Amino acid sequence: MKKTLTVVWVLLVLLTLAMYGLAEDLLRIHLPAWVIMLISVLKFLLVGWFFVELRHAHPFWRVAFSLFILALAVVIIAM
Amino acid sequence: MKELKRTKPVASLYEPPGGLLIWIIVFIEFITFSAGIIVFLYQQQQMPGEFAAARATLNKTIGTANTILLLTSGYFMAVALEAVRQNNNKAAVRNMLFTLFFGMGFLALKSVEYSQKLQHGHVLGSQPFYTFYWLLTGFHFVHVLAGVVIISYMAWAVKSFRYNSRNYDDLAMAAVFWHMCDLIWLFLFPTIYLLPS
Repeated sequence: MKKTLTVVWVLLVLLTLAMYGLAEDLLRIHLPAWVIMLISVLKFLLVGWFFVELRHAHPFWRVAFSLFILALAVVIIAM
Repeated sequence: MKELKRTKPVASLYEPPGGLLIWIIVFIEFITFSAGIIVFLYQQQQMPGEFAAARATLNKTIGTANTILLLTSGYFMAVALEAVRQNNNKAAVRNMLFTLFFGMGFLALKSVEYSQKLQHGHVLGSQPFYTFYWLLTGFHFVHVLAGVVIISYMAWAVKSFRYNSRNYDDLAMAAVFWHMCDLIWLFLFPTIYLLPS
């Protein structure tokens, strides 16, 4: 269990640094804003699934959680 | 004789991680912050130039460091909960102290950022961007502060063996509150600091 949490934490830190690199143009890759939001959704789901332990919860909570964040991301990208 | 199939127990709809009550709070908080973000983005559409100029004054490095601090504190909280489930209260307290250390690191770094903004005259109401900046991040700051108080109390309670593998519902609830602060920041950070206007 701790090993899984550690792997998720490393992944979250790497994704955060990638976002920083993209936003500061350090990676010399010009990607649109939706990529940053996609990474944010991925991080949100990783925290929800593994740290909050939603992966063990009833499907209702997993679906509600995922739909909420996807809807918010779509609204942010659309605006 | 037919071998019985091993099936995973189905989680109850009425027992999400941390309990139903905390999830009502979590969704109310999500909706509140989402409404704030949507109004922020609407205002940005009205004055994109002003928002872009104001956003350029934000320190993305501090924002990224703060994200890593919160994610790390969330990691230690998840490990602490797992330790209590295994009746290892000593390890749980140690991990909760790490949770508090990184949580307070977030508050300290955010305070440094706030003081820099105040020095440059970027106060609440000085510009529309900074009004949203202070309201959204300030409201989040208060939540993290409340989380630090809750986790401190819980660390003391775990040290006093008030929680164990059969009785840890309150601790699970506190953990969900702490992760909620993390989750909210995961959307505030890119929206306020990173997205182009």
